Amino acid sequence: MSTKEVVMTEEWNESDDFKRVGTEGLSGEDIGEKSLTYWADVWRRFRENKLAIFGLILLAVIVVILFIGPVITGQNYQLIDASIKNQGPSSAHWFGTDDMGRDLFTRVCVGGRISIYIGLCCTLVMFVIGALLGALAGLKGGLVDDIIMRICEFIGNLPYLIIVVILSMVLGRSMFSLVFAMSLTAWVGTARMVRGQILQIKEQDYVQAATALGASTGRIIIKHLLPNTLGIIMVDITMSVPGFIFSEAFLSYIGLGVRPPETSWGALASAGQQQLMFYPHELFFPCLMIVLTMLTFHLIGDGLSDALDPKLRK
Amino acid sequence: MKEKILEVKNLEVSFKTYAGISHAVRGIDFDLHKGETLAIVGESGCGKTVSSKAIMRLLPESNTLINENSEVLFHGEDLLKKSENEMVSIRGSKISMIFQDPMTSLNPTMKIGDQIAESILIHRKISKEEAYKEALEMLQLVKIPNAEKRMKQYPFEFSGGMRQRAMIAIALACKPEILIADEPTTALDVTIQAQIMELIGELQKELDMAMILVTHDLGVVASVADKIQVMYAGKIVERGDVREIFYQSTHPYTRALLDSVPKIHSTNKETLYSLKGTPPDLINPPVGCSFAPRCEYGMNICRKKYPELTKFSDTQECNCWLHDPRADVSNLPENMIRRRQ
Amino acid sequence: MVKFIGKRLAYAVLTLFLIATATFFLVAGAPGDPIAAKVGQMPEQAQEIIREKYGLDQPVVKRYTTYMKNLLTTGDFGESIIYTGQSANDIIKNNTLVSAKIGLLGLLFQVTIGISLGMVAALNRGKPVDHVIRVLVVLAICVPSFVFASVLQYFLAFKWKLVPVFGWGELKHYILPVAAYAIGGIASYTKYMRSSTLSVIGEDYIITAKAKGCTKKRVVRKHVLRNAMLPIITMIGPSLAGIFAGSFILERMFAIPGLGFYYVKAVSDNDYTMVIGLTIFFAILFVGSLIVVDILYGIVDPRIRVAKGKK
Repeated sequence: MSTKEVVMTEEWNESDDFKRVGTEGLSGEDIGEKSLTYWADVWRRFRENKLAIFGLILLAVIVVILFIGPVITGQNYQLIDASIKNQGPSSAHWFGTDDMGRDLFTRVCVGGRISIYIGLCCTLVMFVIGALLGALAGLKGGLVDDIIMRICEFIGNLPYLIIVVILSMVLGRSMFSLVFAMSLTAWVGTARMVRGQILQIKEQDYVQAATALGASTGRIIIKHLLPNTLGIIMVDITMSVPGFIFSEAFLSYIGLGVRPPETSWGALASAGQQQLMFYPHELFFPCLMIVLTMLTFHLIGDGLSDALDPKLRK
Repeated sequence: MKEKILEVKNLEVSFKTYAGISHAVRGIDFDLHKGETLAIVGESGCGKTVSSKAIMRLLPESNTLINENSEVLFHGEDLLKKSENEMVSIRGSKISMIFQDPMTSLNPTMKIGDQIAESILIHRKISKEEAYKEALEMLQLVKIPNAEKRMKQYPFEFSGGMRQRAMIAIALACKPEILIADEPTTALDVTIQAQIMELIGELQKELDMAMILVTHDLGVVASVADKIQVMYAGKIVERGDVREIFYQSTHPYTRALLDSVPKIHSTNKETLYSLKGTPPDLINPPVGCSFAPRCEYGMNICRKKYPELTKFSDTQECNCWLHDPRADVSNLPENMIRRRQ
Repeated sequence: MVKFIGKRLAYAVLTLFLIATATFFLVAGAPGDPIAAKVGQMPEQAQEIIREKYGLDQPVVKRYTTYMKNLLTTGDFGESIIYTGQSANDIIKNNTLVSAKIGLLGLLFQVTIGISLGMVAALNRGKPVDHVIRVLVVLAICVPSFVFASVLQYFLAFKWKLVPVFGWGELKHYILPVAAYAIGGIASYTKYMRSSTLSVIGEDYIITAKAKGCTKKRVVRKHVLRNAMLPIITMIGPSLAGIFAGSFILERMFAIPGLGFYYVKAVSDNDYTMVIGLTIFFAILFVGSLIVVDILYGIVDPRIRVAKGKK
């Protein structure tokens, strides 16, 4: 026996050690660490994801610049001055000037506000319609579900771009028609997703248990269905905003985006495209902003989906 | 006694997890003889599946740690030290495994006939026609009606019980020496369970095959097993031959497992016995007996020091402080404390 | 199987019909006079004649039925208002192939490179190769195709003069547009193939395959590949359909006379009849490719084929 064991034997109080204790004191169900609420846990995982936090901070920086920038430089985004047209970046004009002598930095800031605004609007519409219809279909089931699913299938079979183009052409090019055209077909994905999630949750034992215990439908929706769907909805939203920004840019490129005097990153890029050969900076800066913004949303979205279900971590 | 074909010595398996290193199997030994059936019994998480997968080297390489000193000797050769190439020729032909959930354990886009034939073709150099003929015979052997038609069908066209039969056909296609059955009936209806166990028993006798049956259900074990070992929290707490375990078990955990099997003939209107609590955290395994917190006969010593081994016969032994002469044995069930060897 | 195809075809025809109707009424009902640009200051009588020529004196519903009858019997997609004598059919005939070439070539690269990269990344999860691929994928997704096209155009064509800046006709003209077209798709396919492969690798039947004695190579080839590719096939459908539409920007940037190019022109010219005709044609292509994919999926995944056939 090693010295250690000898010491232990001496420490044993024989009668005491062999006294029956049973299961008192030590409960097998003692939890090791304090368990957090679901959302606190999600936030903790999100926080630990460096890329996601980087994305979040970068996005915040971008948004701040978009709003504060023009105030700092004091320039007017519409001021035309042919004498300084097509200049490269300088201390007076951080991003240079465009082909009409307008300060590009300010235009990028203003355009950015509109691009992001459009992105958010479309996402909001998509989310409201999609989540509502999806939830309705999932909860009610039966005929309501069938009808909504048929509509989704039909719309899903339509070529997105064509619809957007036609609608833009027909409704004119106001902000409203743009948002309308882009979100008209986009809500289908969200609806399907929400419906799928609700169908899955509805069948879970804990929901059936709640119903058996007499919980009202409202309570079930708020306490059980909503928190569990919120997660994937959030990821969906985060990934949709840049998609809409991109779509608007795409439309601007073919002449259907926002109408002057309003401008957007897409419109700026489209204009810059014309000058690509000689004044590449006019295309570069709007594109840079698009890429950076899409990157931030992408990182945040990835971080969110990882935080919400680490089992799915890729 | 028939020859010893498998010897497991000091098997220690741990996993790297984001919360730390989880010690799933903490040093177990056992052996298996030709034609013998060993049942490894225990709750989920006790390490029984991990042990069986370790034997076949089926654990994910990236986060599995097996102790250098652990040995798994198959006909004297250590499987843990073999190369992947060597293991590939052993898996499926000398040692086979069937799994718990037949629904997810079969390739959904491959015909059943193809899956059985694959087993044969990768281990033997015979023509495709011959392989398919043998595959058909296997399917008939596991008593699937209309076997010829079924060969060309996909798993989703089979019922749960039939899928498990198909899995058995795949596993036995090369007439292995050892079959490891990991919870083969857990996912099936009770009536089907009996059929499958019967089938396995028959085939085992026909092929003179040894079997390791991993399960948490003692009811399933009774008719098939020759010997039983009970695992808890990564260690073997008791082992013995089937009669010893069922009629004279010496460990409180084994007793608890036996008690929780519902008995069809019990006349008392008692509540179904269930063991309170949950198994311990394997990242910080307890230093004493792992079962102590849930043991109604537990003593202070149990929590301080791991119980020594007590032998009761050539085949039965257990690790429990209750067999120490100083223990408090009042109110213990009959024949739990016996004269030691 | 036949039942399955039949059902899809019927559904597709219905969809197309609805699209055609909706398009017609939407465009016909749009504000503005379709022939305003054309007639300008012409005398009333001349205007009347022109209006009659294009059937614009008729009520909308009558125009619709005439158009549909025409379309279904003679396959006439409509005549251009702006460019007299040019019909939608001309455009369709001469320029569809152009778009198709770029699109199909691009799709080929997307799918083959994407699937390969995705699998490589998944099979080497956590290793440097995986990280590199994932970073490239993120970058490619965040850079819109036109930005990428512009960058390529600027450096490869303009600065380094490796390829022509724009134009069409020879092999060298294919390089930029196909590359620009493919990049976004490669990223998507890589990303989805990677996650599909990862989830297949984690399935129980892969362990069964290993337990049988399959080598790693065989497991990948016979068990992982087919099951991982299944969900990817669903992606090819919309991609196939998007071949024609996605090239809108690229055709404009590189001055390629494809379907998209003319479609955009028709829209910006407010050439209503042309827009209607080309839209319907696009819809046909789109819905058609969706059916092809559905059928393909049915062939590849036996579960769908058997289940749907039995209905």
